[in-house]
Amino acid sequence: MFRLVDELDPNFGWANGRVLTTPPDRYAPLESEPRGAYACVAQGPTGVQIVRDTLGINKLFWAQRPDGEMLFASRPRHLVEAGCSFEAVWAVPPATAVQADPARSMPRAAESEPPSSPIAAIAARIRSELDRYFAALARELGDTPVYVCLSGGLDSTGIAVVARHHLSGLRAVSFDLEWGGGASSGDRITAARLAADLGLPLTRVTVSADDLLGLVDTVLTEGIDWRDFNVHAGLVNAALARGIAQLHVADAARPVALTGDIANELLADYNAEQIGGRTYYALPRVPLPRLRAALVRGLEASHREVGPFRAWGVRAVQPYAVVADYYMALPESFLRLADRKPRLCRMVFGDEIPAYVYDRPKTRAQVGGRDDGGVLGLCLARGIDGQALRARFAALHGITDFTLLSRFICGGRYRAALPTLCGPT
Amino acid sequence: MTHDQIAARLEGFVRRQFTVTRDDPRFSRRASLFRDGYVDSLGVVELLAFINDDFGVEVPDEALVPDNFETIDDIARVIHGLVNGRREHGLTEAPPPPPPGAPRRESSRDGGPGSSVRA
Repeated sequence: MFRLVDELDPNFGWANGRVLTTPPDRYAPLESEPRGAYACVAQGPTGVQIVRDTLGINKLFWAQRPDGEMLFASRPRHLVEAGCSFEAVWAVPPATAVQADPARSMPRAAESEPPSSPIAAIAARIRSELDRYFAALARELGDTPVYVCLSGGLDSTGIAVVARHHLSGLRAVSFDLEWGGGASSGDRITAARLAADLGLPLTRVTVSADDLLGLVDTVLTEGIDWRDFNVHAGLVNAALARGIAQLHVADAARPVALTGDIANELLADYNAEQIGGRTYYALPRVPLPRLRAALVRGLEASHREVGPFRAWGVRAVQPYAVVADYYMALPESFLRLADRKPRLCRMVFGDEIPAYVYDRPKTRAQVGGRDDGGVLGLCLARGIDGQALRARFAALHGITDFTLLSRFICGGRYRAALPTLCGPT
Repeated sequence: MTHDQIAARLEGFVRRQFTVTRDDPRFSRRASLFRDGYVDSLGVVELLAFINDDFGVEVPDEALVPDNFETIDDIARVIHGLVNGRREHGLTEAPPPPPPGAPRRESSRDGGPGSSVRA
């Protein structure tokens, strides 16, 4: 027997040209492994079905209580609150697809482009798949309010320019931090210009330093991560989520937020940040192809997008997850190009992305094109560094032995295994 | 390649990459690399890359659990198993060892009951 101790995250899987939004506690026969965001644990006709998407976007944890009961949850904290020790918590591995019906096989989904494909062909596949996904998503969502989170960077702009073709009521939302000088950030200025140019109404979410830091505990538990880079991204998302939710308090349908997350991992397009002579957001010292593989593999261990949005009842969708296979088919020679991101974006989105976005220096949402370091700078100024976040995460999960944390996330992955739950229950 | 040879190469890499001094009294092939702070989460990625480059094997996720992957001796054991498994079975990758302390894992590789698939 098993028991779900919380409500799992909403599904936005993608398989065989269909958006899979089956409730995560309901059995649904699947023809192939879902891309996008999908997790479920459900009683099927002949046994238990356990599924987790290929990248591990949606989270699924389990633990066995001392009395033998098997518990599942989307957040480790809920398992701890249900009587399990943190040490007993395991993740269901990404790309798991245990079918309840032994007669059904579940082959791997869409084939990847062979690495020898021309870049332009891969770019064309990325665009056509994104168009197909958004068309299907629009049918699925009907008149649900949908927001695209605009940072003024290439990734979120790419999502906006494709989404607006399919989602007629699309709106935009932008984050800014009221701290360190009062002027709008580079992200906000570009997002506002972009929203106007794309014809999207813009919701401006501007938060004070104290207000933002008040969200740390929620981000640590919902984001299931203590590492500074992910917590800072989660804080931005939490503020956006709360801003969106406040506009839809009385609505029946939970709003949806589209984010440009994941594209940076798929192109290994990250750099460390320097503040006060110190390096933050350091990256492993490995060659680019290995770095990309590590970053993509590491998407599994953190819920910095879906988690914080969910805390305010907003359903986050990361469309780049459905085209990850195509990005991964980009050859190493392309990956080594310094301008790989704008080059690929030109092929996928062309002139639909305005020139001023292409021309903008790359910035992180956590920093936001601000001289004061944005959310990263604020946290450091208030003494909330990596150690403090680690300690707070531990406290929130009843952990006294910090070494458990390095066992829980190791090499960018949650500690993972499948429980024994086969056959009729 | 013997376990000891593998451990020696791993030790050399860890000392170089993570700047472990020759006279560090706490460091040995049985020291906990992660708990004792020699290797952090970024370092794990660097370590895995080294293992892949130097020994030609990919460490499966299932092996990345503390009881298997805590000390240089532990890691050498995993690599030894992967290298020998590859040679004996003619595989490019050895079957993953089961996670210690975890319940039985099902996958298409280990042929568990039901029809389960793990990429």
